[in-house]
Amino acid sequence: MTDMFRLLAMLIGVVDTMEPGSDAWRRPLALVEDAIRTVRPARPLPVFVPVPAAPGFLTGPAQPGGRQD
Amino acid sequence: MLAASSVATLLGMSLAVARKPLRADAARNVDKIITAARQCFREFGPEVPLQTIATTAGVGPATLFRNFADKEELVLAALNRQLRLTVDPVMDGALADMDAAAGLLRVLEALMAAASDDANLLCAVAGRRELLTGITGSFMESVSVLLARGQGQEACARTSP
Repeated sequence: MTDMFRLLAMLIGVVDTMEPGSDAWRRPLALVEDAIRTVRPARPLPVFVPVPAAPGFLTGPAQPGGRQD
Repeated sequence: MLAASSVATLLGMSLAVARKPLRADAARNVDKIITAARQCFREFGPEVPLQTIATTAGVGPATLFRNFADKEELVLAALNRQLRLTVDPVMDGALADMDAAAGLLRVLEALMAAASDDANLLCAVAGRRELLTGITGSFMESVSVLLARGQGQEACARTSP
């Protein structure tokens, strides 16, 4: 299993932390893009979408930590 | 919750659910059932009964079971169709793009959009690794090609493809 396979598995797992059909995956995808490109793209990160507070969803902080761009 | 097996299902889906050619009326029924399945999974979640899917498709349960042995087979067929419709064309474009890294990112966007749209389908096959038997990863092979090209163009870091 390669690095890329695991990165994709991690990305698809993001679907588990959001409402089906939402665009919440765009921010983690941008973070992965930042990781795999040799030069970080000159664009802000997509907006952070909070993890739904419902049974079955992972609980997380109300506000994102780390990068705020 | 998505399990690792459903993730691998999605990543390896391109060659899944190979079917022999169907007569036109049978093909229409399959199309109606798959369309109804996507709608029902979205509306009712992964536990939706097959009877509900058959009713929504306007076919009898016998027609559904003639084409799909169980819910897992139907889910795999639905995921497979969506990947073929939404991700494969993007992959074809990416493989023809001079900018491999940009193409790779477009593929990942298309994959994530498909996974998000059909999250309940993915959830329905979580935890069943035997579904992956016989599925090969042409999708991952193409991703590896794009990544290697991107690395050759010094646009992608040294992640193993």
